[in-house]
Amino acid sequence: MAASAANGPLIQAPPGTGPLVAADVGAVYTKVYLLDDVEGERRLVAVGRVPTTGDDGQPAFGDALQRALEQALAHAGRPAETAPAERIVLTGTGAITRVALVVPRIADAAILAAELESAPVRLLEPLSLDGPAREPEHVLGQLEAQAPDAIVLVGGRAADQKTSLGAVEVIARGLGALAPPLVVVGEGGFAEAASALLAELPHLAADAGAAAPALDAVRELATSRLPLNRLRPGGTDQWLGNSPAASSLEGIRAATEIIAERYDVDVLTLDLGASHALAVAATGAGGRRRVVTIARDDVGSRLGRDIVLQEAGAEAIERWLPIARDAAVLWADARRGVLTPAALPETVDDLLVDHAFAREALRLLVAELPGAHGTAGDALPPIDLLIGSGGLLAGAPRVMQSVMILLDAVEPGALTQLALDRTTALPLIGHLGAIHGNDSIGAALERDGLLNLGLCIAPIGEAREGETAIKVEIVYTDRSPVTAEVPFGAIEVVPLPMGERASLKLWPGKDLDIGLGRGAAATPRAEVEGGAVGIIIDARGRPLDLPAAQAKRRAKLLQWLQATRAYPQLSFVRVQPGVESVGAEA
Amino acid sequence: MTTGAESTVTRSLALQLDRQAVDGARGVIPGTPELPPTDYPWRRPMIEQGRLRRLRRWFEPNVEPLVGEGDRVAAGDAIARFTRVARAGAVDVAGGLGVPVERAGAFCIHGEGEMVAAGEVLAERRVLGGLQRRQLRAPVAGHVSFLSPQTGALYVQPPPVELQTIAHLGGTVVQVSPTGAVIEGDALAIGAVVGAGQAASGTLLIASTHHDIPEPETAAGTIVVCPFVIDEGIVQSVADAGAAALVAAGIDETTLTRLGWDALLWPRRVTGGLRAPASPPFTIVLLGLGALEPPASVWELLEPLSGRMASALGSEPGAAPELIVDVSGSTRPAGRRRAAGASEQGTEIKPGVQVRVLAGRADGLIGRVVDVADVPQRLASEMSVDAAIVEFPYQGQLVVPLIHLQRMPQ
Repeated sequence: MAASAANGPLIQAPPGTGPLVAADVGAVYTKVYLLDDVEGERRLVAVGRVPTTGDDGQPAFGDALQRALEQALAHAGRPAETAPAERIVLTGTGAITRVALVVPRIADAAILAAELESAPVRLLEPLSLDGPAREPEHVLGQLEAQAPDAIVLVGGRAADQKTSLGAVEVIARGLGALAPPLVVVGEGGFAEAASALLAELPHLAADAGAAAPALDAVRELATSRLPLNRLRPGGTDQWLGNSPAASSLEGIRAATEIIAERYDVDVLTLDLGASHALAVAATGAGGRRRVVTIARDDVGSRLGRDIVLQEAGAEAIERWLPIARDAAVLWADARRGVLTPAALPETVDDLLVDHAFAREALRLLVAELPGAHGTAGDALPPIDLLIGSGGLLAGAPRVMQSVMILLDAVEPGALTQLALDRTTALPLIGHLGAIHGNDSIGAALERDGLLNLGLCIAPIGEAREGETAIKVEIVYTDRSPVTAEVPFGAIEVVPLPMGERASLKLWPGKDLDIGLGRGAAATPRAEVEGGAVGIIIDARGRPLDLPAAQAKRRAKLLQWLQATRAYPQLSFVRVQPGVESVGAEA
Repeated sequence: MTTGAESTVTRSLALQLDRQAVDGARGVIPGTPELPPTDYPWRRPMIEQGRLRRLRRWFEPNVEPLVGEGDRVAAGDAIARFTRVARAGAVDVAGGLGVPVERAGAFCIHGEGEMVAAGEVLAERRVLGGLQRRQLRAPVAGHVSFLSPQTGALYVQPPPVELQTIAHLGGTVVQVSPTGAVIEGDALAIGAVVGAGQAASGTLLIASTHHDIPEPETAAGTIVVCPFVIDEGIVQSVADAGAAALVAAGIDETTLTRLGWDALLWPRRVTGGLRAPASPPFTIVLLGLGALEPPASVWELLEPLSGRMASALGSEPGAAPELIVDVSGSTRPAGRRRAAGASEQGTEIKPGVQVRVLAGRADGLIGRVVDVADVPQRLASEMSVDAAIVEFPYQGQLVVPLIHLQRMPQ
């Protein structure tokens, strides 16, 4: 490293183009990415991944970074001394800040929540000072119960500022040194007056005249409280240097925004980490694009399964399983997930359980989107591109498994392009774009990170089981067209390999809608690009309605999983009398 | 990997990783070297015996170390102390008594700096010519810290609580830094899978069966070890006995649910200073869970150590749950005692070593590593992982991901 830095290149590459080592420190795994200049473009050339914990099960950040770097270099076939000097550290550990909102009136909470909607933070139930929170003990008790990482306190209108300053005093005098960092936002001298009351307590005062005062301050706070920045654990000095670690969740937010801008599409990214879940929706036309983020630090692919069980219920998990797993077994699995977060599924059964938890964890997240987005009822904002990210989705043995998880979690209707962050580099792509400008993210780097899965065609509505739900004609550029008729209740995949293109003609059933109204045929103007999966025709109905009867539901699941070849050959196999199991057939 | 002229869409790393997963081995990507099997936690062996070292960390800002380098300490000795403050209780004097803010002070019985008991009258107003009295009482014991002239609220600040960090491992302090102390001593350490509560020290008591939980006169302040899965009755008995800690082979799932200990053993997240983590009635250390039960050799090692000083650590920031038993001056036969330095046997999984499986289909089994595969192995789930071939008594050989293995003493 030192030699590499000392003998640096004579001609410095412009920012965002030279060799780079980037790390993403997660709660369970630490990844190191090696980027290099390939034919004038910065490309991702290798990824190293090791557990974040040390021999005592405690985080060992410095050690993990070094080992992941060694692995990435070994992947790239390079000696250790060739590691690039420029380093960037991202981290998802502790990246979701839980923010308490203290507002003079409940209407102020909605305005504040709208300002913070793009930040990957968890907004807690607001404390409105025109309600019970006018009592100082109530404010203190509620904040104690919420145990936030930060408090945003709004001054509000001139007539409300005295009340708001009273709340500042309550926090300062009541919580004292226990108070989490505060962001005070107001105009007409409110911020200054609040600052005087807070005195030595950590706080940021923002003038309400700024474009997004609370958002900027909350982002600044969130970065400063990342454990890597707060603790600067041993072995991380050469990584962090003078630049603090950045939030990988902010990276995913930025990447989603960049992709939406670049292709002028509505994008939804779902990121399921081992200990967090994040949804970022970037919708609307260029220039007026809106970004809404839902972040949860209590739900993840390994940690937080108990929360998924509590909130969704064991039946919700079980309904995605073509095998028998009762509530007790699922609870035991959830507890073991915390003990051995880096454990891997050894059998297909274990894999199916992992993926069932993932579906429900993502569904919990997606369920919050319409409320945050303000769309009517349970409707999701429109999506053209659905991106899956996070270790579980990226590491699925077959990409079709990730496709099925995404489809079952989001239930996208009409036409939706699917992509997978197969290298888990999406946070890095977003971060690089945010610091060096979107243009620094070359198409090649984007491709290195994102795997195009294909197009999902999902008619909206319901029809009779077995009735033709949709007829799809796929016109290839270099071979005879193919026509697929898919019955309602089925899902089929028509391969369209990477690099190939085709045009489509769609004829939905009379009760089904592919975007132009019930029964209306459609011919997308743009050609479809091939992907790792191809064209997925999901005629299972929107909303997706699983059969209530257990046997019928399991049979249906098996049918879908077989048709898509998402898993190794599955079948009902009675391994023991009375015990139903599914396994890989020899 | 991606170094040549083929910078086309088919040469993206995402696609390569995809093919790698499908093909099931790293070697299929041209130019990719074989990797050392490093992608597993370098877990401490479950059992360590000999000269051990433990770093006792402290994270509080106002810690006062009580030891220096070279000091001898017993497991239960305090090596650092610190104070923890609670939030103040607030009473809205003006609002509660219905008086103007600027007159609130006139109705207060206690002034700033005065001590008050919980429930003591803080402010009073006589109404209806003295026929009725409105009283406001202290929500907590402490001193009156502030009466706000702006809001008319009065604050009662509870006194700070002094807390200590104990040595946990008896021996010699070899290093003290602003963030912790390193202690070295002769001990037997048994790694646990989960726990709750701070390190607690006491005499080791082995309860061989459910009926052997000692009475309070003998169990008070001890570390009670149950080589079986505990239930609600055992928890109650140990609590009644006043034991300092309970170390068990596991816990019955129903008990876990009934006691609501999920939140205790697996707290959702580290909360800030505002809310202290849930505290158990005594320190709990579980050596197993569900199918993952500790091997019999653990109890064979512990049984002759009954009556020795021990320390059980359930959950502390930056520390793993474990039981440590002082073996200094042990007169046990040399053949049964590991020599000093044996704790440095390493964590590497290699042919010949004994291992315990922590997850997956061989969960809880003890076996011997036959071989560590040079290339990633494809499991039935189609996951490709660095793996070892492990031989289990009566079970034959299985391919087990390295990440599921923990080394055991030979």
